[in-house]
Amino acid sequence: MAARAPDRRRNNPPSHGTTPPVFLSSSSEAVKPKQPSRPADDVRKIFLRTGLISSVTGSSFLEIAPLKLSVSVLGPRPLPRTSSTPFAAQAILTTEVKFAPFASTVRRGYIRDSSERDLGSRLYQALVGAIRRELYPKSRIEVVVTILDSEDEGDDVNTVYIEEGKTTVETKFWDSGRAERALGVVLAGCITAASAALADAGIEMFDLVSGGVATAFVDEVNSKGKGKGDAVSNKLYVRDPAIAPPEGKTPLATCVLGYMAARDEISELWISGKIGTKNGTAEMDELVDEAIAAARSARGVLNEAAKERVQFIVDKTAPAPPSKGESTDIEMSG
Amino acid sequence: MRLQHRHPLPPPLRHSTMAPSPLAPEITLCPLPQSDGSCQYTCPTSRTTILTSVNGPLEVRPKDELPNHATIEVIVKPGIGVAGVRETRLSTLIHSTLQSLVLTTHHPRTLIQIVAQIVQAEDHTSLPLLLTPLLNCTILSLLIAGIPMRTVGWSVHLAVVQSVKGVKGVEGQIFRLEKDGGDEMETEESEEVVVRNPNSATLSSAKSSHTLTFSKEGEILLIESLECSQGGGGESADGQGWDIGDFLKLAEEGKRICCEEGMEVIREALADRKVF
Amino acid sequence: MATLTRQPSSGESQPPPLTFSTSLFRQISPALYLQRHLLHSPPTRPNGRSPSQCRDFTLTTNSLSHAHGSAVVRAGDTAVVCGIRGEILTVAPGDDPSQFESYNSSPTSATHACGTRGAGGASWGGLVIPNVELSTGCSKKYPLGPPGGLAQTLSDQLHELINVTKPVSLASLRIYDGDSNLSSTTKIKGYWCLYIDVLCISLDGNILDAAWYAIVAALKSTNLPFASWNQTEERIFCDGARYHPISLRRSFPFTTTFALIPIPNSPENSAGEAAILINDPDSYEEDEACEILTILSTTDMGTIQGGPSQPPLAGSRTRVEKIEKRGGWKIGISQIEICTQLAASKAARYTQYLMKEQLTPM
Repeated sequence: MAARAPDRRRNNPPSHGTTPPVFLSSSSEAVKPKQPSRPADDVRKIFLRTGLISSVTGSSFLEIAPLKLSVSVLGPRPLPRTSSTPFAAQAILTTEVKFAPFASTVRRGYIRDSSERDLGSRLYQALVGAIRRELYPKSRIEVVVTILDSEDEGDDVNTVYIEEGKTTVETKFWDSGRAERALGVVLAGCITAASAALADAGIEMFDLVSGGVATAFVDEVNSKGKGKGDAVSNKLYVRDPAIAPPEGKTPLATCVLGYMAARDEISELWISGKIGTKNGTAEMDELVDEAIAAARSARGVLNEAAKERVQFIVDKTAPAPPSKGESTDIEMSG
Repeated sequence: MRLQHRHPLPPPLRHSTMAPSPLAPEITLCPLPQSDGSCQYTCPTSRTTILTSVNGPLEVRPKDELPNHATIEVIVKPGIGVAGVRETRLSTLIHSTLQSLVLTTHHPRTLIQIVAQIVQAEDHTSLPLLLTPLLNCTILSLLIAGIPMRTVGWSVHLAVVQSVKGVKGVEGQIFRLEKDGGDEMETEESEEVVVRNPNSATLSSAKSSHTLTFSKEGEILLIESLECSQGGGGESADGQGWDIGDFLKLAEEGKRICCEEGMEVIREALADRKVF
Repeated sequence: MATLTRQPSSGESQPPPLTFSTSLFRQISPALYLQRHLLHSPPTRPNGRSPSQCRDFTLTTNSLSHAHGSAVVRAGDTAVVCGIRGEILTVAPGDDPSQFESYNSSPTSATHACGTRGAGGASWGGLVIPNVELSTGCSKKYPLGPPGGLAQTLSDQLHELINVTKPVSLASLRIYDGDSNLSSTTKIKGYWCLYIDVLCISLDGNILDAAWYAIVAALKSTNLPFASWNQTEERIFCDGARYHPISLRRSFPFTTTFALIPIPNSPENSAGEAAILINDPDSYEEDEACEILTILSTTDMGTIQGGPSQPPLAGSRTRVEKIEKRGGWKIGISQIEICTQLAASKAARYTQYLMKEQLTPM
């Protein structure tokens, strides 16, 4: 519980340090994770809106059930004029992903941790190939993602179970692919929202990149080494997976990708878990295809958001019919 | 790099410490002969001691350069540890006050650097206890450094205390505000009093704290007034605060103190320096 | 070869003056653009508001799943998200719990003062810890990276607002030994520590008012789980099934910020105005403002019964808890008095809106 060194640029808690709350529960009524009520090939509804932040070049806000994130695009703007800045023939892209302190179960600090830096570099990979960077020499484009809320482990991570009077201080074991699924959904959302924000900023791109995520599950017995023969037949691919695995299933691998639908190109691919092309099966291809299908459905939303925004701008710039508002305008000359 | 030397020779190292009277602060001019202007200021009651040094006009970093103004930089160094958000806020407050005092257009594209070191304080985290000494000390060292200023200002810290009882170490600093049609029934003990330059103990029993800064002409430069009654919060804090009428009366009194007594302090401190 | 042909119809007139479109004027000469607007009759700001008019705002509470209390406030183009999260501070056996139960713990001895400053240098805070984050790409002007001067100043201002208003009853944050509700201090095993994090999503001026309003709304929506000391395990456990709201003040004070726009002497300035005070400035106006005035005040519940259209009377019980005025020298004592009345009517609007929000939870 030793407190970390205080942050001198922020207000700090008492020097004793604080701990996140730990919940007590009896194993008989162990919290069952909420089961997703949608079929495996269905994705959650995506809410995407662009241009909500007036003071930046481009912005978007994305909501997929609990996940809420806001993206700002700053730039293209000139590189800082310092002696150490090298000449850049192409625009320099920087991506930053930051969880709000209240975005996950365990309160996060303000300093970026390793998972946030990892997400940032993956987002960079997904976007960098799509932007026509050669059109913006000697400038930089910054993409900042702030995650306000996410589907995380849930409160049961900090739960202690009691068994018949004796307390077992042991956090419940969750399946191994949990963190990857959680981060994968976040990354897919980041990719979709970031390309919407880049489009809103009017930055030229080869194509819009949409993010997709899919997880392969197998029956629980199979993962324990029994009945390897029929593993293929029992495979279940879930698009846009929830944190809780389907009843009686164990995750095998999760695939996240950034996909440019018009060019049929993958700009970023991240697979974690145990999956391969052993025994001549096409497990991995199937998983990637599922993720692409998820990305395609996200692309539909992306297209709509881009269209909506273009229509809004066209309506705004078109000569408006004379209205009452005109008369209050003040004559400006000088 | 120094662009200009105001004093071809460093001023003679002479401490013009004023005789300690109960109301006047202790001021030592030019304790740092290497800087363009410096001052040490000690509050008469809380013994808060500030040391400031002013250098300028200096060469400015290209990043901070303003085409038709001098850049003012204020650095507040804490007495203990490294600077935190409180020190950043203090320097922001001093900076915004000086911005309206210093004629920045006289030295465009230069830097006027002010470093204020908290030497001693009863409470190193209390903003009201530090702000008045910091401001007064900074203004004195700006005058010594010969930085062109529109006018001079002076700051006073007032605390409203419920009763005179239990207030120690602030003798000669207590006065009462005249109430228009106030209750004559009120006894001396229960009547609200105003304490000038309160110390930490007085502030902890005070209802509100007011840091008021006025210019020589009576313009308001800075107000930092806050409710500071003690308590555990929640419903016990309901109904705290003050009426705006009381504040306005207090502000008038603060103006009188700053414009008359404060200017007198400056005049005496700089008597033989030909600043005025 | 180009030849200048004389227009037969026009007489010996001057060449046409250089004119700009409104949007261009706005960009190249913000000070003049703002002044011309304010000198117009009636004075109108470039954003269409009158000088004393504040922006419309929207409030949503409890929209975040992991925070114990949250609020989203949008005032014009300024949007902030505030999340409150409780964490547990365990009281060590030798500790005096009363040190945690005061907002303005003023250490009297030098050794104590050293203690509050910890070995790392920066000061340690109390049980309610507010912080503002602006490095979210909320504005072009604000650089990314660690908090700059503005964010640090805001964090400190909000901390001061917490200390001044004392919104939460600190005694209600106690965690006792067992379920007993004895108020004996020996039974105190820990405290809830409230982390208040305000993220600015979109910055268009006057973030202090929006942040403070979000904090108040989020505090009102906060529910903490029941926590108690478990003797066998010797640690504090929470009950995930039972939550309770925190004990708060009944009347909350709200901040109102004004900016002063200087108006130089010019032929247009027929009224001879030296400066014009505007309520709730946006960032375009803030850039031109020389003076900022913030008033923190409460409105007596009795005055808001009449509805928002009825302004509170000058003699009604408006209590001021903080006044901050910085920069410039043009705001006089009489203007502070006028602003206090405007602040009171805004506080009344806020209070009323907050009550409505409480009745219809999201």
